[in-house]
Amino acid sequence: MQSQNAGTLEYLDPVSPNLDKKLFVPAVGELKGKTIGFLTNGWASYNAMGARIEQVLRARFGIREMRSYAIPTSCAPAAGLLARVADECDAAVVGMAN
Amino acid sequence: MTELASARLTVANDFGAVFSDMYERGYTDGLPVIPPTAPAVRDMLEAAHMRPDELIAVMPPEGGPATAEKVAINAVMAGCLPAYFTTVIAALRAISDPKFNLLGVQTTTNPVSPVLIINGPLRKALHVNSGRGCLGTGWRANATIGRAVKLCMLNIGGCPPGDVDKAIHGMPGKFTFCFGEAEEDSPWAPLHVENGFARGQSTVTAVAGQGTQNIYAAFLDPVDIVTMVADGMAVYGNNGYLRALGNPLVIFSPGHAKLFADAGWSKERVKAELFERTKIPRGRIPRAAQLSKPVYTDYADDEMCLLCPDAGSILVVVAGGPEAYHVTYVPNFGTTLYSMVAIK
Repeated sequence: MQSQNAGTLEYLDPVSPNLDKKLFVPAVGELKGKTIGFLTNGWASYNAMGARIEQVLRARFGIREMRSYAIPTSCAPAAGLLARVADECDAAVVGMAN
Repeated sequence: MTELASARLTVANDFGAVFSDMYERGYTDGLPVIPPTAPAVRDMLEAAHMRPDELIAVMPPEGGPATAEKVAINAVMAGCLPAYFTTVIAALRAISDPKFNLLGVQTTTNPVSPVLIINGPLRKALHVNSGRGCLGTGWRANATIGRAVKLCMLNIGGCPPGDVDKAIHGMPGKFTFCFGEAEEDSPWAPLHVENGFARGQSTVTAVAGQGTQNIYAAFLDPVDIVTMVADGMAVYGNNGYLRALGNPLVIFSPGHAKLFADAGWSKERVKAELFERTKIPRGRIPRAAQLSKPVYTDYADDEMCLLCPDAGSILVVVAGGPEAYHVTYVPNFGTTLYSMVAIK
């Protein structure tokens, strides 16, 4: 056991933070006039929440359009879908929980 | 001396105080841990001849880099002996294979955790229990190898329960879930040989399991055994049926395996018989709308819902006490596939 002195013990931090944040994309910035996409995996809760989110995005942030894209429950999207979303939208939420 | 890069934290030199400090920082699974001092972490790294900065994986959801040093710290905390470290490393590589879907395992509402199956000679050298009580308590290797992986998922993956790990109930296997296959007591090729590895190669297999279901199937006839086991597996609330995906795991005792083999049944036949019997007609499942949309939603009443894509997707492993009494079924998360890695 490593001690700085008889009364203390020094241990190593087990956490390994993601310092380069490569997983994150730049913020989309101003939403006004933008097209926003949502990938929905079929949970019924999205039907209600999606409608409400669209209301808010339109009324408060002035988006041009909100598009929903269906993907299978608990599965990755079909090949090519993410590229299509990137092509058609200015920003998208691609990883919603249930 | 090996240079370690991790931040040093200083506490009163008292095991209770160390545990309380680590618990309050969210570093533990709620059970006491061994303080990861620099000498203990160096011992772990040196046993595997690894550099501290060697990158093993990037762990979701946070994307934390699992360097050998960070893995060693968590392995010390879990109570691993240095000799276990190469197995812990292999297990981390296994769960980091994209087909294992670690992001889903970490963050789902399901009660899922990696089930680690150790094969090969290292299993004996490390005293991994593959016999009586192999899924239970009392064996350091079983307890701490699985726990080390879970602590890495917490501290490197950044997945505290409740906030990020959204499991509705969780399950006790989230502390640890690791055992060996009783290869010497099996009439069949062990799991790693079935997957193309040499018998003398040690491996770790990771399966995304959702707890254990005991099935008391004390029959002597193979047909009766597979009938009862399949009935225990054919629970349409299991995730496998949602999309007919995944790898259900069935653990037979050496006694049951011998009964099958003595009757001329191969492992492949056992899988095929189980697969056929776990098919459920759509008409048995309520038609009312669900909160999600399983693949069988629009099936006709007589169409069959599948637990997994095919018979070969069922994993059959031999382990446990010798009697042909109990069978353990480990339901699968569904949207993952098992992953097997050689231990170096």
